[in-house]
Amino acid sequence: MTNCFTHPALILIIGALILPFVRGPLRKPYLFLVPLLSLAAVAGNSSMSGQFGIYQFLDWQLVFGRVDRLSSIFALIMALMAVVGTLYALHVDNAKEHIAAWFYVAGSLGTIYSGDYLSLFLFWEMMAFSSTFLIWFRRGEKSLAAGYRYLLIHTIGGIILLAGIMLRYQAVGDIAFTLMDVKNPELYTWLIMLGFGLNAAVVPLHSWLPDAYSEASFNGSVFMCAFTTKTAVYTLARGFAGFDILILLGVIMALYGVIYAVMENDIRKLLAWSIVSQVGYMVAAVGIGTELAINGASAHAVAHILYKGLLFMGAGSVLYMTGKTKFTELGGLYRKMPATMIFTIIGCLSISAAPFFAAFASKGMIISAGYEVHVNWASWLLMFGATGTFIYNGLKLPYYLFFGKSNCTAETWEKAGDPPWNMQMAMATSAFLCIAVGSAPVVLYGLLPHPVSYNPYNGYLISETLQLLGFASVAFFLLRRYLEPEDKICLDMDWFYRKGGSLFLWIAKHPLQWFDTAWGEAYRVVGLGPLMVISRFWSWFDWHGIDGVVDGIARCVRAIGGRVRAVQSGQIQYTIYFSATFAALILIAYVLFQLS
Amino acid sequence: MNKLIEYLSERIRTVVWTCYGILALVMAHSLYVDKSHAHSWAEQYIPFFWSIFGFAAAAAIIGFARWYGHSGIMTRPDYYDRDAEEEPAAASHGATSTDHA
Amino acid sequence: MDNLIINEGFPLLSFLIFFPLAGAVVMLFFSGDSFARYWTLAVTSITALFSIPLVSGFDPSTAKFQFVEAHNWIPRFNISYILGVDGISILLVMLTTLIMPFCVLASWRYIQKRVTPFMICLLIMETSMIGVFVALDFVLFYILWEFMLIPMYLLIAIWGGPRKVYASIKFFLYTLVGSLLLLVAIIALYLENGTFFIPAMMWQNYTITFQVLAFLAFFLAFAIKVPMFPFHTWLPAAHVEAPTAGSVILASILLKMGTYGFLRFCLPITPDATFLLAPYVLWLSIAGILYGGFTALAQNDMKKLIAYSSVGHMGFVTLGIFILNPQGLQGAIMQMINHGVTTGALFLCVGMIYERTHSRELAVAAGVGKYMPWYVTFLAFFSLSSFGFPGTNSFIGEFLVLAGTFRDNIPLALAAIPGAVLAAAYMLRLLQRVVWGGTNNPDQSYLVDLNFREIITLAPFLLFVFWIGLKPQPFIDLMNTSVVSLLDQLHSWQQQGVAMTLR
Repeated sequence: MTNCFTHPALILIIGALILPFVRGPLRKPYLFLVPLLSLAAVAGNSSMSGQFGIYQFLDWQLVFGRVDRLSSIFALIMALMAVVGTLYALHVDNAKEHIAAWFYVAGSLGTIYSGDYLSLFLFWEMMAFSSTFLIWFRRGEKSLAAGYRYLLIHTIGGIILLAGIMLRYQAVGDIAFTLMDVKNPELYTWLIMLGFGLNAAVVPLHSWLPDAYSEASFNGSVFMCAFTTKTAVYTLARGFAGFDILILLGVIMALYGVIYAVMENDIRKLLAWSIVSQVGYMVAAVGIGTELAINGASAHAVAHILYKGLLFMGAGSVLYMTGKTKFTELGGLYRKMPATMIFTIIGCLSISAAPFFAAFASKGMIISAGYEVHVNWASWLLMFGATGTFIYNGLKLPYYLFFGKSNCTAETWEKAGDPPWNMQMAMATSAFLCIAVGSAPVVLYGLLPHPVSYNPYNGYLISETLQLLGFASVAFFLLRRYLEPEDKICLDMDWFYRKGGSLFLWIAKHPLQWFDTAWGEAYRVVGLGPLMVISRFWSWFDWHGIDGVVDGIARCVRAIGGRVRAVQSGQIQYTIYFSATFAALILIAYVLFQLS
Repeated sequence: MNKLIEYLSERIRTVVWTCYGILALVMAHSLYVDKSHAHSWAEQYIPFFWSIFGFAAAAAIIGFARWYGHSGIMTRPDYYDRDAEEEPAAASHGATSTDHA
Repeated sequence: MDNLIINEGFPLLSFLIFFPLAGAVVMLFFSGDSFARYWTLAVTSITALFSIPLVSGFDPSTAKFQFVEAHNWIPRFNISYILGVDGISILLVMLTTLIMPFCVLASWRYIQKRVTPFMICLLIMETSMIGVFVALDFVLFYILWEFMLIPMYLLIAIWGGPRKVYASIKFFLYTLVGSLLLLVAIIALYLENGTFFIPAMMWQNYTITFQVLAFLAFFLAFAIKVPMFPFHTWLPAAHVEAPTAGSVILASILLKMGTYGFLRFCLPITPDATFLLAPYVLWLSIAGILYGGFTALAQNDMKKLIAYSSVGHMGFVTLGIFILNPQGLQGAIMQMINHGVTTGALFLCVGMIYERTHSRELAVAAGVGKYMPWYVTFLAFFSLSSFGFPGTNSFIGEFLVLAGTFRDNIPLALAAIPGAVLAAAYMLRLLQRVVWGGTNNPDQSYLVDLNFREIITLAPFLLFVFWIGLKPQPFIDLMNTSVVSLLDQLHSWQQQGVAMTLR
């Protein structure tokens, strides 16, 4: 593929549309092949740079293929995740789930490659709508409501984004998607940032994430954890690099996510909060805006996708096999799910930035970048948060899920086991990549947007990390009883709109409904009733009135005919009598007439 | 793998002491490591800085999370489901639709 | 004779008229129901095919009669055999020839007894219907007008519903009474003019008394046929009792003969009377629109409902004709075609339900939507078309009629609007009942959706509903010149009359 830009989203969309027709033994190879092809397309594209796929639509120039190092690295990891995710879900029979997932990935890739706001918006909405289905396909009792909340929030976010895009077009005059003037933010700058930020789960617009990701299907959540948020990180990196408020927001996200994750009982909600936290690192890095920071954000995104996918795959395996996701219903599973345990622990070590595991290569970059531009407070707080990450993800999750006391019912215990081969293979691939990226980060660094002179493998950083991890573990084991999972949910910002929603519903059900019913009654009594009365009257009139006359005449004629018929008695004397009388009458009349 | 874990959990005290030993090694290493990469004054001059930081941070987070959760954030799982109970009652109101004409 | 364009080549119009008759004669020699059906389908299809050159060879830029064939018939009384089409009649001829094959298709399973006579009746009806629209000699016209009474009577009396005897005789006598007065008027005109050639009778200086009497005679005959309130009561009876094909022919074509008569005879032959009596006719049309609307709303029998709706729709047509301006007239002719298409299709739909449930009651057909999705889709579109939903054919017709009416007489237009609302009311009521019903629908699970033949029968109607609705211009172009010419002559006549009285 030389000098020819192939849009991977196109491959995925066409593949998705053909999928229902591919059945039987062809399906599994097909499912594996299509994302692989899109990955190949991305790989081919990444050797190019420039703008491709330019179309003129009315007044605007749409750019579907803006290729540079920033978009290439994000597209690469997204396409790779698509392969792994589809492999994980290879055994799912329902074609619609795969179609939704591929459209979701297509939306993400489209957003990453778009060079103008209009095509970005198109793919943005494609992501939102298709990912909703990934929630609905779980078909749990709460999935429907969770999906609707997700869809509503994302639609609102999309509208805010659209408002920002339109205002910007009005102000600037073009729709090119480039770096905003972050030193002088206008209203549209804020609106677009809000739109991107909602997808990135920036606090306070983050509540949808734990809500939705914990309700998605076991395979759907593997896709969801990667695409929406990291695509948003890409758009923020592209458009808002160096926007200082993002540093503050990122740090708040990082810490907020940590606290809630520590409290959580549901595994996948914990992981979802962890996403909020980790994306906070990326957002903060984008806010810092230097080359090292953007490199850090990109590297952390790649690492995050790898290990978060792995973690969700592990949790998804538990869900798939046992049907349970709460610590209070699980525990001690190492005996029954050893492979899953190993993969999950690799993921946990990756997120904790242990040496030789994924995030070790990227987290340090972000922290260093913070020190370089002297936002030291951010870096300290992010390190603080990193400790927390290790606590809930590196220690609490494996301990209460795989070790520790078993809260499983006998039925759950019975069902537990290592998942099918394709799921394990997907997890193995991710685990391998996590270790590879962590141990030999040069490969990753070679793909980063800016030149890299950073090397995490220095004695100091290793020592720092080991000390941190070691003593945090000590604290964990000493203070274990304060972390015991409780079967409770954590209220969050979504309390406002969920309660607000029920208030709105109350208004609709009571005052508004009363008015509507009264109006309908009035309409029925005053309008409809008399109308039908009038109609029935005219119908009666038609039959008895007009037809009364017409049929009456006919009946008269028949009756007269009947009478006259009786005159035909057959007796000749009467016939002569009547005809002679009749003739005489005529004659007399004629004579009289002639005389006058 | 299971065998290994069983083996280790039978000898839990040995495992724990081994871990403490490793920690001691790490702490010792931290005294000798080249601190030129350190970002701030505190890291360079306070010995065992990151160990203290790690322990303190973990303890603080665990403590804060516990306090925060128990101050009302953590609540029963069916907290939001209360709204669903109103649904059936309201549905019967809407059934008086127009069924004539 | 200067307003005729003689057709030198193949006598297309004669062929169209007599080919079905020939087909009917051939069927006398063959028994076998299957043969009758296929043969009739073939004959009507060939007639339809042969009518297409009529449209393609029609010159829309002239108001003269085209494809004229003129021969002497009975020279003693100056009766000739003259046929011709112009913009007003060409659409009606096409309507007739194109609907007939579908009537045959609709009767495929419906008619089980005495199939051959049924098909013969259909073919004879086709002959007379086409003939009525193209005849340019009054005697020829009258013969063909009367010609279709007997087959229609037989159609209802033999293959009809429970009260067929009552309905068929009522139809026959009602129409005959009107026709007798028509005959009197024809003879009176002959005595005035000395010829039966219709164009020669137009725009003559008859006395006003003569004109009024002739107009009234024509009016009664055509008003019964249209049908206008209060001469309409044969329609519900006939429609309800007739078999599906009979209802379709009755609604689509026979009713148009009445309005065609108004356009062809009343306006040009008795223009002064037209101007004089137009206001009364207009209010009678309004009465028909509203009356048809109310009575349709009260019905529980589907066929009766559609029958009364025809009264309402034809009210719009006569409204458009007698408002005497271009939009009104164009709208009226469009409505004639539209009504033919839509109401014909509606009767076909009702016939299909009747074949399945053997009842015409709304309550029996309630809630079939769940089991017959294709059927209710067609029904829905035809219902929408019936009350003039934008995008469908009737919208064009009604809009033009109302636009014409608004232009010249606002109170009249305002009075017609409730009629349109009522049309929506009863049609939607029908649609709601049939498709969804209510909470105690009868068990409709035994119903089978449309088969291939039935879909083929309905699909062309749907095509025309949307074709005329979305792109009416070709149809309007066909009739435009004739309409404009008629109105020009009418208005110059009016000026002349004014000028005469001022002298």
